Amino acid sequence: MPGHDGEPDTGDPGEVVYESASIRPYAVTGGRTRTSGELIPIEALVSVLGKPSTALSTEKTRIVELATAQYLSVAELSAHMHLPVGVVRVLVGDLVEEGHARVHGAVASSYNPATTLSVLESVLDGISAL
Amino acid sequence: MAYPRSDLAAPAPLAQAAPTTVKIVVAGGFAVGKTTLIGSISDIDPLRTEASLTEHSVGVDDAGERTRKTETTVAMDFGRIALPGNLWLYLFGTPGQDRFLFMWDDLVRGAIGAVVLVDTDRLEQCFPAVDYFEARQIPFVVAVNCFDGVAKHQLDDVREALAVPAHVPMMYTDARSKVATKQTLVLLVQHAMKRLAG
Repeated sequence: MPGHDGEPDTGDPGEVVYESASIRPYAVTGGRTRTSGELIPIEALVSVLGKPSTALSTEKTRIVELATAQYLSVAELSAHMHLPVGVVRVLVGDLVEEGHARVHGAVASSYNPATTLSVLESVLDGISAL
Repeated sequence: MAYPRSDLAAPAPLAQAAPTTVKIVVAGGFAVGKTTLIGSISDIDPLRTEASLTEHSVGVDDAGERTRKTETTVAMDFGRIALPGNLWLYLFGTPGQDRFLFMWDDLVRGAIGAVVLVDTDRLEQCFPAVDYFEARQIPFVVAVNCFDGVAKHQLDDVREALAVPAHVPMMYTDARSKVATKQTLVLLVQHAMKRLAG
């Protein structure tokens, strides 16, 4: 696993140690496996809306740090934080509800054949030109 | 896994509008070359993420019947390609094992389609993927990975062995080659467009 992206690795009792595969990952979501809203696609991009004024949990703070300077997908956040996709979805869902982050719709969320066809044309042209 | 390139390459400044994201799924058996294929064309080093699955099973022990809960972690590698028009294409390599098929539903929702990567020495490993995409009418192509550039089998023979329907495009590929990967993705997108246009 890439371990060079400087994620916090605290050894304090009760803290999440990202490297450990034996932890119960949903402890950081209070046991919730999903938020009340729609399921966030794994490729949906997350951006942060300014610096939160309130204190956030270690994991949410990390998401805010990662997604401040660039758009990152739920999948990328999950990889960089060494947390399962499902956990990141819940945390991102919370950040959106709390007004700290925004999720940018993937094509999947606004399915329309005409739109999709024009996106596919762009994808085809783009790949062909690589 | 040690990857030399930075995994936070090519940040998109937030002043820019959010890219439109699309995804393609790369499916196939264990060690068939999914991550190699993704890495051959991705802008970022393939990243690994984990989906944690909780399995409930009822077992009987000395204390009588009780529910056991075990947690299984499934690793998934993925990459990203920035395309003109502010588009980001994600490539997700899916765990190939039968018992994890259910987690594909979530992954393939909204995908352009799938590449089923085949190793002709272990054909049986890609049966679940072919069945899955066929049953859900998700556009897919079958790409036979030629290790060392040698095609050991005729595509028609592979098609017959895998019972791949005639409408599904098939081709040889080389997961290590960017050019071959590009051709494979082009074939898939063209196929998906044909399907969409009816």
